[in-house]
Amino acid sequence: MGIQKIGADTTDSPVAELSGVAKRFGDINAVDGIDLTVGPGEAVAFLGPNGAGKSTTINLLLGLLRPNSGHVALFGRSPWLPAARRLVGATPQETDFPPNLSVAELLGLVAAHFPAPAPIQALLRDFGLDGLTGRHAAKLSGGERRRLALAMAFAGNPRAVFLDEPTTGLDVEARQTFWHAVRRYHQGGGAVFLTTHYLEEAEALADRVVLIDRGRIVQQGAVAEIKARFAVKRLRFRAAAVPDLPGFAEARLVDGRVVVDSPDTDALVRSLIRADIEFDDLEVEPVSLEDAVVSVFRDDRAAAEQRTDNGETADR
Amino acid sequence: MKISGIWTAHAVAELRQLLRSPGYLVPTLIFPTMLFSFFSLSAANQFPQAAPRIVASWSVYAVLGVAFYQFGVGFAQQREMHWSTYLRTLPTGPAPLLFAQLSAAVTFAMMATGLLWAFALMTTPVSIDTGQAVRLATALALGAIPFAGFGIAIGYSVSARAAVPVANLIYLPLAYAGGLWVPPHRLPDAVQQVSPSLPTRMFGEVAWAAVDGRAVPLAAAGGLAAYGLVFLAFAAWRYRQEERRRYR
Repeated sequence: MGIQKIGADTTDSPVAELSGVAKRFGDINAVDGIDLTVGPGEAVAFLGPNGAGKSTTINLLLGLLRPNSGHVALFGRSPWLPAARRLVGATPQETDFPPNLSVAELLGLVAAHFPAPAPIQALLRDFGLDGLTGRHAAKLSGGERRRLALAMAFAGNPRAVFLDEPTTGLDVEARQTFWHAVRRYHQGGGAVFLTTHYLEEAEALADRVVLIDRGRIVQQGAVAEIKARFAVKRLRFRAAAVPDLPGFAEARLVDGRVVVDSPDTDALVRSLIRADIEFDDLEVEPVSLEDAVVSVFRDDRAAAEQRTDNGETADR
Repeated sequence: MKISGIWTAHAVAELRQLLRSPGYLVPTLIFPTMLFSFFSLSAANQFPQAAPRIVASWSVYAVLGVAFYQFGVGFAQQREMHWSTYLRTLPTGPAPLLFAQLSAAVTFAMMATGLLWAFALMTTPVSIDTGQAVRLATALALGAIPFAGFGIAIGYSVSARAAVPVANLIYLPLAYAGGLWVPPHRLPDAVQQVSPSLPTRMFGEVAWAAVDGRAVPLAAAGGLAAYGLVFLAFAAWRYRQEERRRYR
């Protein structure tokens, strides 16, 4: 998939720019002061728990929502202008396509909005839709609908794609096919903005990971950096007490068992053995990135609340 | 991309979608001709001089059906689809989509009235010359605008499930009381009292004058235009409310 030529005014502009963006729904601050710039050709993964503000951020960037405050720009322009969206492809979040239109007709309809769309045959091939060309949307399986939805993001041959939880509902094979297509697109210079629950997906597709919780960016960095920080394992064992060893400072006793999360559980086990501490029922299990991230968020919140408490004490 | 290209793509998609939907095709294309054959075929044969007015009445009914189904039922259904939200992320404004809907409506109205006239020409002594046909087509096209507005207002006001019964409950009684199914002078007395002030009656008057070769009845045309302003204002208000609710 090649990249279309565009006017000089937009070539150097960042793909997406959010500065001080806030979006409220009633009493809920869905997005609460986000600053973020996605450069040309960059691949950024937005990671966070449900309700963190990921979809709201994407919808602000696609011109579906207006921010209550702050500034949102797509290629240096307001996302409300069709001209800004001409350089962007997105996936439908739900797959309730018009039931009586075929796969090829739906892709053609989306492609018709763009000056230099991708060839439909290439899209069908890249997203595993060969053989479904003439099938009506009503007769597609859930996985086929998801694949069609993903293909739509690329139908306009855009300079940037916005993918909101793209592989939810895909089987392993379809996920691999999709990742392959996205990587090829990114290697060809396309920018990618995706939201996901899976570190694996962020690792496969993104240069940069942005952690978001309660409408705020909590951490961001290169994939390897975030992975080192958050790819933790959970160690559990039965022992008389929490060992007084380095690395066990945050250990807790749960039902008579010591539980501790660490990026290097092997080292903890070695130190237990070296210190000749008696233990049994040892288990090591991976902690999902989401859990790890949520626990970090929890710590952040606790710290924030403590600061507030201290502040109040000082005032008195 | 040129606006015309986007408009064409949407119009073609809309036509394809509707041509493959029996739930839309039967009430809009088949019912007018079928109901004409049930209720008015014998009258049109018995009173040949009244036949053009009778077929014109059913033509108005056919156009009403398209307006209420295309815009009332259609908009109510599309409003509930995430697909229409997705279409907003594509690089276009709302105009090409609205024009596509209008084009599809005009196409279906021509098909529905064409079928009706073809059937009537074969089964009754009705005749119509080119001048009358052009005037009738013009009357039908302009007269449909207020009802398209009414349809849009319904489409933005009720759920997709409610849209079909609500549309039917509004336009079928209006068609009857407007004298489109039976001539106005054969309506019950109470109905005759209200009939002249109904928009469907005014639409009928304009259509009847067209096939009679009479001058445009200004009172009816003016009344219909006034209804049109009210319905379109109502539609615009509902549209803006919906926009504010969903894309604030």
